Amino acid sequence: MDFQLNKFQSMTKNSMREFVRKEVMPVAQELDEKAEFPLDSYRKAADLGILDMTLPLEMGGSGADYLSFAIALEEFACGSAALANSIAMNEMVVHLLEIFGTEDQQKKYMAPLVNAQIIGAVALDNMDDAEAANQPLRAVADGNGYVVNGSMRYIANAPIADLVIFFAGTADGKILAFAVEKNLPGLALGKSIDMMGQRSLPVGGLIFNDVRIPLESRIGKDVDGLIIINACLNRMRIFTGAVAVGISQAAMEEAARYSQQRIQFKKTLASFEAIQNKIADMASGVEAARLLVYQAAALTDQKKKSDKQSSIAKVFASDLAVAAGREAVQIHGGYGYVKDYTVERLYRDALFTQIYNETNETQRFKIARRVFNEYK
Amino acid sequence: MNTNDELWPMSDQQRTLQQNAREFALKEIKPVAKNLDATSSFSEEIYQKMAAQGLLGITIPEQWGGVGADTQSYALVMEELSWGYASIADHCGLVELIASLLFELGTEEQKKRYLLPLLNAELKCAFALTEPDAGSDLASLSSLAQKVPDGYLLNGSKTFIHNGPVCDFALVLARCQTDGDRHRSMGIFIVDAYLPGFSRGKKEHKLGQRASQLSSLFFKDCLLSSDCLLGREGDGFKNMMIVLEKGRIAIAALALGIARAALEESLNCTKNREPAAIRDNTQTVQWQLADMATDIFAARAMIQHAARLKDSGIPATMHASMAKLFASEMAVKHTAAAVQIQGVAGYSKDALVERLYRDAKITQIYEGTSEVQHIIIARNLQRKEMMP
Repeated sequence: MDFQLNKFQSMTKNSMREFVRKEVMPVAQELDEKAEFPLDSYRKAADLGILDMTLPLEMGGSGADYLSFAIALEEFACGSAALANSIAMNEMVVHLLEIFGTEDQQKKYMAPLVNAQIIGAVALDNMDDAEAANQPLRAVADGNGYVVNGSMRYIANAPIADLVIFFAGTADGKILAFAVEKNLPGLALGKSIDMMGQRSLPVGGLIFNDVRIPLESRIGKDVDGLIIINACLNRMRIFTGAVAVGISQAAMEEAARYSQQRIQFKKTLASFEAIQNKIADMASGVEAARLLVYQAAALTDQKKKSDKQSSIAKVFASDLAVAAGREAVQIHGGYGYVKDYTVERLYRDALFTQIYNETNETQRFKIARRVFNEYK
Repeated sequence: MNTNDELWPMSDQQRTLQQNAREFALKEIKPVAKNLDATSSFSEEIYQKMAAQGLLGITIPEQWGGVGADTQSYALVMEELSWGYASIADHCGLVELIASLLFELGTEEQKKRYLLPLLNAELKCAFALTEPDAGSDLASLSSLAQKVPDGYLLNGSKTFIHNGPVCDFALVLARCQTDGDRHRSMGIFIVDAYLPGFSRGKKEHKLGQRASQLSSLFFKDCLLSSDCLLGREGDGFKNMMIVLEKGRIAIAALALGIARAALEESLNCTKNREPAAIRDNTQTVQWQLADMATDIFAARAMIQHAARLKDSGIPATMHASMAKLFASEMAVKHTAAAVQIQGVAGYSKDALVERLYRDAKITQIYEGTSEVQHIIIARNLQRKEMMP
């Protein structure tokens, strides 16, 4: 077992880290205040090559594994969890098109997606059981295509997306996957959410009202839609874990620096045992969460079953992020409660990681189910 | 929701005050709380109504414009107001502390000039303790009130001062001499906001309790007459500490009110939830609800116990600290759970629990951080041989 990053991974980590500290961190507070998608930073991130990182060389990408992407994403989340989520969502669209898209779809959408000319979203509901019958979107075959009805809520990137991948159940118990442009007649945006944190991440609903979808918009025609959904969920857990590790790392850094500067009772806060304990717990948590995320990503890259590991990584990392954000504010005292300090935002941003991309309750349910199967 | 009416014998006055505060929270606070949070503003109208309804100066005798009730009543009122909106309760608490100091230490003249108009809501007050470099370590503060022939010359700055942007006067803790025992060299000064040399910083943009407006206060060669001194020179720190006990009981009750609102929201949401979102009666949620209720009950018992000690004239320092530590920690924990129970909807600004989670965090910080409470409790155990 080798815990070293390879050359590409450590180069990626360093370049992303440098970029985030130079380009993202200085504007993160402003992005939070404005609650607008940071198109400018997103385009710069595309120039850096994060959007096509996992795309094979022959398709114009860097051919990197998902572990490398998770490493890069953690660095982005350290500066802005919201931006990291938008990037991860887009990567998922790129990945799905790479594996399940037709040649026409790849030709048409891949380059604009990775160059940040268009933005992608995947509409997946937070559901405990992704059976066809439970799919909120319903597809009915109609001539040379399908008619889709239904609505979904809380989809990251939906309000700004140009291309949407979604899943629909059919009456005969199948789940079909589609990639469509958002400007289709009958496809409308639902309510956008004004969120507590990660405010520059656009999250909103999609409403399908008799949307006619041509046959050629299907992806993964020969694959059970459930398999695609499960692949998405696995990826979402891993990237949410990576985002949570990034938030935790940022909280730890802020707390560690501040506690060495702040003097009370003629000593730095860092010289108090109670503060040292908090920092040590944060650091232990960050290391553990990061390794869990790496493990889940590595298993995914090796095409091994990784859903239990990805659920564990998501739960552990997001619980840690909430605790780390809370303790970082606590260490800052009154300063941590005002918007001039980064930890105030981290406290708000962190809570989302426990909730979205399947709640931690759902993850725990799935982990337990898996463990029960293992130990009968 | 039936809370604690039958849990222990309550006096008629306690019951009436609790009822009044609850009705006030329901009718006057809850309908406007969301807007106050969004606009970061405190409504003058509510302030006037609080005075008119007898929700200011709960423990101050009636002859000075107060209610003349005990600390237990005060804690009950704080819980109810905070159940409406923590920032409003925080305002009640601020007035209570200032009024307590004026009542305990003030001369007849000072009481007439400040206490009566304060409790009639004619004046707005501020409590200026914290400095940029003196937070938990309050005794290290450096604001200086230098003795001059006609009084004092005040210089220094205070930070995160509640009501800073709007106060008419502030009670300012300042050092009277730079040498000597650092705890015994301070005085409390009544500083009028219209005095030359008094200025305010920008309004702080905060995570929560956003209707409690905060700013810095600056004093530059502010000339105070001798009758601005409240209590004795040198007793300032000691006198501040006396009201902090009451303050901690109050903040514990405020945290309790937030947690109770979170529990109530969680129950409502599990009742009214649309069938598509299934998690209504799962054990995970049941456990969360049960833990919330257990902690709320425990916090209320601790708070009322500390308040009873105080009302009986028994030192309540350790018990007030334990109540504050426990109530604030559980409020943060359970407001997070309340958001989680509602999922993404709970994370939206449309949800009350979104605000509760933000409001709760400061209860672990102000009126003595959780770390300071740990130190106080341990010190009482180790040095004063107190046992819980």
